[in-house]
Amino acid sequence: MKIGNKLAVKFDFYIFGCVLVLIGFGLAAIYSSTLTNSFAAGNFQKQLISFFVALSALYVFYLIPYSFYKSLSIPIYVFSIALLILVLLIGKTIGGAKSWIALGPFSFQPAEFAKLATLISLAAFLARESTNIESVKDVVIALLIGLVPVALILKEPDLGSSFIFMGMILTLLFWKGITPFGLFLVLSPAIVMVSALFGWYAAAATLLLVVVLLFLFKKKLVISAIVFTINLASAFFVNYLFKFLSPHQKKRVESFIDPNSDPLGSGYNALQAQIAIGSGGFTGKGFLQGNQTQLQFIPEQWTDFIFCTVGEEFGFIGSFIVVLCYTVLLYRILKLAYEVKNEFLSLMLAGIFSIYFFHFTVNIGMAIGVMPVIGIPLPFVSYGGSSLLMNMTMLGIVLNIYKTKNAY
Amino acid sequence: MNRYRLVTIIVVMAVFLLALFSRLVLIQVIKAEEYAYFAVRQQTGTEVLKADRGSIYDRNYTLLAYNRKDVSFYVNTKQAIKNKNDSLIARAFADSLGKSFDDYMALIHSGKSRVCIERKLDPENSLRMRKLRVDGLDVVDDPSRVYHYNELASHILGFVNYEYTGIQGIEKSEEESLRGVDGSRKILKDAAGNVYSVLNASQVPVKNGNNIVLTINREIQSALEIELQIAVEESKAEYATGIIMNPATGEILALANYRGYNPNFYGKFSNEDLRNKALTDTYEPGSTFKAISMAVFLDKGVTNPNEVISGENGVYRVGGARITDAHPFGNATVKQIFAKSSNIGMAKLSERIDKETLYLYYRNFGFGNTVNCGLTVETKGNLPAADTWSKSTKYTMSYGYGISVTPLQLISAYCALVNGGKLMQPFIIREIVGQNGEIIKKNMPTVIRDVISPKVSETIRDFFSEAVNSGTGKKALVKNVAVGGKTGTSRKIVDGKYSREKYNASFIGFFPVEKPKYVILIMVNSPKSKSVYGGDVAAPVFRAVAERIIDIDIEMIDFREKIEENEIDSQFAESGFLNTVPDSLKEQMELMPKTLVNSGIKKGIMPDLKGVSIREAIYILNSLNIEFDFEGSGKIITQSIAAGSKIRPGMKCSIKAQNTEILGARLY
Repeated sequence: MKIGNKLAVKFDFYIFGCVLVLIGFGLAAIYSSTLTNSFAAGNFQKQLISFFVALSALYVFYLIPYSFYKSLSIPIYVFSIALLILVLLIGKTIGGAKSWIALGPFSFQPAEFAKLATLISLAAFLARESTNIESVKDVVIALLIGLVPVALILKEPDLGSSFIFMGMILTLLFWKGITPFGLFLVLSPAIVMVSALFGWYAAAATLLLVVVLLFLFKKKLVISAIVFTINLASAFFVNYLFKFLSPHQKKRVESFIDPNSDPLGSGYNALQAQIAIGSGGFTGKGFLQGNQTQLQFIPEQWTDFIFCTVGEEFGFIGSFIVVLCYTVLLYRILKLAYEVKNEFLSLMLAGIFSIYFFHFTVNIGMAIGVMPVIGIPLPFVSYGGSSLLMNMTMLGIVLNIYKTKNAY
Repeated sequence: MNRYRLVTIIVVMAVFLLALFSRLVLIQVIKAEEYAYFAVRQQTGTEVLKADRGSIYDRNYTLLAYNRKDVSFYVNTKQAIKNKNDSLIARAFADSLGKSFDDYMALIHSGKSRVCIERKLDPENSLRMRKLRVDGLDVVDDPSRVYHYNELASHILGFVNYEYTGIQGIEKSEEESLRGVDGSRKILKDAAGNVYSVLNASQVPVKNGNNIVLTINREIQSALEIELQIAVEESKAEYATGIIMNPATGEILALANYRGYNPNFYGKFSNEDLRNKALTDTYEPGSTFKAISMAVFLDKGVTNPNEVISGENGVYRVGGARITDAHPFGNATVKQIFAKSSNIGMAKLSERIDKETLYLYYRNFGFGNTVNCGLTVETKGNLPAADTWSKSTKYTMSYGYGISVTPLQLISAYCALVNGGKLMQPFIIREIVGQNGEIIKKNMPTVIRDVISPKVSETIRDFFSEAVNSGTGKKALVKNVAVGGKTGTSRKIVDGKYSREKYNASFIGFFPVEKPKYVILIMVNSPKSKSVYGGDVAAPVFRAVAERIIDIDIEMIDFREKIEENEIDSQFAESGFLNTVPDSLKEQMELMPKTLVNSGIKKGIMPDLKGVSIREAIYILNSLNIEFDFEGSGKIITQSIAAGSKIRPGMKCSIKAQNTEILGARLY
């Protein structure tokens, strides 16, 4: 009993247990969704192999002292930027985005690696004693560290990953203690951009709101003017950005704005996903019994739309267990981030929390029709080696910090 | 860490989680049934199950028309190109079918989303291609209607069009029965619309089409077609029509027009060839009609066979018309008048009867009405009502002018003349049989009405016999079996006027005389031979057909007067010839008169044709695919390619024929 307690202090069984349940759901869903598809034959076995590789990575990062990767923050960042540039030059185009680098029989996504690298370097920067979050300069430096990879990833273009990055940057700034005005400074251009997607009236209304808030912050006129100009530029930048998007991504954005605009085209996946999950009902149709899955109404379901298989075959009960596992996982990480005394580690945990959180919310949200269809995988569940490897690595870091939380 | 920030993040997280949770409750619990309905609706479908079209058989259940299980291959181009299967498919088809790889590639890359790359591939070829199971290639059942004997009975069978709908002949008239009723099944289909599994195999059960058994005898039909072809080629006629009926029952045993067409390739033929002229083309029957009128006179009792009538030496005026005879005479009995085919005699006899009575009799024989034998598209001919007749009509009509008939009407009336006086309903469908062998309909012989008395019928048979034995129809005489018949030569009406060059040469005969089983009508349209008389052009065709039938029909042996010892039969038995002949030829051989069989026919080897009749020679050369030209008539005396030499493609054989009777030799 004593030994058990001792172990529980050193190892978070809740987190690890939840992740194993999620991976179990993932493997079952991948097996089911690839069963009738000749192109995806063997994906289940590949994922199983990836799982064991990722489990080893988890173990390695569980053991490595944090000071080791903290010291690597600059080289790892430079290396990840180099990889992101390399992928633009020699990358493999899959699904309209140039985001894969092929290494013999394997291929991986530099953006996945860049997530962790950016997180480490951003956390390291913010945790410096000299960093003052209330100074505009340091906020801008932090933004630059974060937005360089975002720009490169947008160029691929990988809208989903860049969204995750932005969420992570915002979370780190907020966790570090950014001032309300700083938050406004960072957040307002993004809000203006999103509203601009809905047309010029929406953009104009949002800009008006920006003016009102600027007035309330009572900052110097020059600063207020600069902030407004940035916001105004953002509204125009969206149209420029829109051109970077591949046609299918443009359509995804359009169909989220108006889901009924093209039910047979880009809205098709969203509709079919909802039909799959909805038709699963409370108890689900049973393992391998999901018609919508087996009849392949959702293309490449084993990747981004894997939650449909879970929802269809395991019903509301299955969906609920998955959501519950994520909730427990996220809450435990957040709690740990709050409890950990070392600022760098706390920021690392907050970043990992945000990466999991945004992946999870956006992925399930798009499957059930409350988020736009942007291609990001469901952590631990979706098929994909790079994604599983990075998620397990981050989990290794989380468990590592948990193990040593009382030491700092 | 700042507690306020922790709470803020927890609140944000809770809001998102609650949103996801409530949405999940909405679609998976509250609206689950609605989504389940959408799912079922898009995943299930109804698939039409095509009914098999019925087959067509002859009276001995020889298969004439059936469905071959062909398939068509379609390529869903996007899918094929995406999976890089385009060249794989093109290569496989090109190699297997010996066609161009580039052509297939061009088809697949034509820009259409779905292209048919191979249509109606027969089972032999399609079997290999069916094994090619790659994404983007679709196999669709696409049966072909096959007419096994090609041209044989084409005007009877008709054909089906691209949509498998009957367009002519039995295929058209029995469309509803042959077609059957399509069924359907409930299927589970994947997103691409492919069948994943079958949920209900017979939502609406398929009802396959019925099989049709005709009254036609394939062998007799073939004999008739061969002889019509020879007749047209020999006399350079426009076309020839022949019908063979059983007068006792009204069954049509054979019906053909030469040229016919090949229903397997109906698109290559003109409308002229496609038309069943035996039912659609009318003509003024001329002398063959005298038998009808004569039967009326005898039945009304206005004359008797032995009454002597003046021939007026060839010219007679009545009702404003000037009637002449080709062979003038002084006095003759009524029977002789018929045998010599005297117009004047017929006109004189018709003076004794009123036109209403005549008209009524003609109507009763079926003229001026459709026959409705089971084939569609038929004309009524023209029998003008009695009150519209001019002064001369009664006289000219008695010898077959001023009335137009179809060949089918005329032979039906002849059947009544010789069968004891009953007009039988002609029919061509013996029975309709369901797919499980159950008989759905069986046509029985039906008497429409009694037209003349049995006694008169007997007298008329005697008249017919006389006409062949000593009258105009001598060339119809058949060895061994007694035949009767009547010749006819009528001017064709061209642009509303009687032509001076174009004639219809016809002969209608029957045998055996005592108990007629076969009535044969032969009509040769516009012959360009030396003689255009029915007795010279049509009567020999009748004889040739009759002789073939006598060879085919075992029952006819009883009617052979005295069978001479046939040395050829024994020769045939010794040669073992049938064992050396390919099966395809053997089948045709069976139709050949036995006299041919000793010539030792082999494919690719020039046979010895010396002494063979010209029509038999043409038949042999045709069946061996040897090109030829010929001159003369009668029996072959020379052939340009020596007997026994090998035939090479492109060789042409010239044959010369002479009337061997003149040489005093009878070769069989």
